[in-house]
Amino acid sequence: MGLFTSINIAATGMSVESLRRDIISDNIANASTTRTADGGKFKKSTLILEAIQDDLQYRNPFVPADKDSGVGKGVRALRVEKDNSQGRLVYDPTHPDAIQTGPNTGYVEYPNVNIVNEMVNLISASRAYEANATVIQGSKEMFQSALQIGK
Amino acid sequence: MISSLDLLRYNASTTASNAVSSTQLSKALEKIKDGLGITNTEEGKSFDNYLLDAISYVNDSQNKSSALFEQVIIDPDSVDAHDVTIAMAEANLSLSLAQAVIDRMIKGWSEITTTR
Amino acid sequence: MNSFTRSVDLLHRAMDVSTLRYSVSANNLANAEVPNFKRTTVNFEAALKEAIDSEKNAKDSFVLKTSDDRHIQSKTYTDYRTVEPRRVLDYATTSDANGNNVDAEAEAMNILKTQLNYQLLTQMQSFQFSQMHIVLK
Repeated sequence: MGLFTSINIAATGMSVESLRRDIISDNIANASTTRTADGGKFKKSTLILEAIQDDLQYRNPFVPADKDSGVGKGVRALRVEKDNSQGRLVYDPTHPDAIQTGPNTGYVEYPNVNIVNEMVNLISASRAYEANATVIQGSKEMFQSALQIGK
Repeated sequence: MISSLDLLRYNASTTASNAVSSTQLSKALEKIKDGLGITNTEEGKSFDNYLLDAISYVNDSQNKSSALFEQVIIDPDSVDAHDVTIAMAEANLSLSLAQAVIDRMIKGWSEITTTR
Repeated sequence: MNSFTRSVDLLHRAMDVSTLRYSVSANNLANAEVPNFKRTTVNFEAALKEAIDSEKNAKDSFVLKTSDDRHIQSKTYTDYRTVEPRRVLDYATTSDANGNNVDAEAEAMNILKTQLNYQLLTQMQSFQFSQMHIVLK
């Protein structure tokens, strides 16, 4: 274990949470958008996260892999995916983006963004960010008390 | 520039060899041994050997802390903060102790040789 | 050069690199919103490790016989005092939509790590001098 391992791990957590916050704010801002620049409908984005597992530390070589997983190296954002489920349909034939053909003629498709869900996700991202900051604070205090040994 | 260990080693070896090779001191020690009835003293290491063993322990702890410092500078992720500070505190303490012991020894020897 | 002066000099250089790293990180953080800005990092530890390892291996290394200055000599020994920190532009990491690849949290963490590293180095440096003072009292 190194001097700054825990700080590196918490830093990855913080970057990921701030990326999540950005995605959530994009979703909320576009909650009533009916068209996008490349012609399709707006669909909400979700962030796929992955634990960084390569080169685990403290891995016992004689224990099977599912019993001893070692200490990982944090989290990384794998990709941003679009959620392609059906959005809300609102009947409004006078809207310029109303569907012209098919079974839903006259309906406008609004994005599949649920504002309440997004707000809850925002709160959880903010709490996770604070928790990572607390980890860093604790790690800094441990370091400084180690420096007091023998003073 | 000489290191602290060289100074200490010089002090220690001259004092120890002076103390042990002085005939008056050895005669005095003989008298004390007879007076206390000590007959079977083991044929162990002599006094200056003990002292130089202690000095080499101090040297080892100083070298260990130097090696740790190099490791902190070259590869900060391979060493913990408390390893470094504990090695520093240990080296500091052993050096201070050795210094105190040698001071006492020098004082004691000069008392024995100068007071009649 | 005995071990005391070597330690003091090595720690001094490490502290110089630490302060350089701090100002580079502060610069990166200040430019975190500028379009097409790429962050810079400081490379020092790897070159220093190589120089110190070459000192340890210098005795058993393979020396070519030369009789003229212009003959090519195999590299045997690099003095660690010749190693300098280098600022390197980091153009390889992925960037935002506006071409900026500074991650504000990671830069803030780098600043914290540099501070802690500097504190540890000052402790080690004052330890060296206090050891001298014990004996010279």
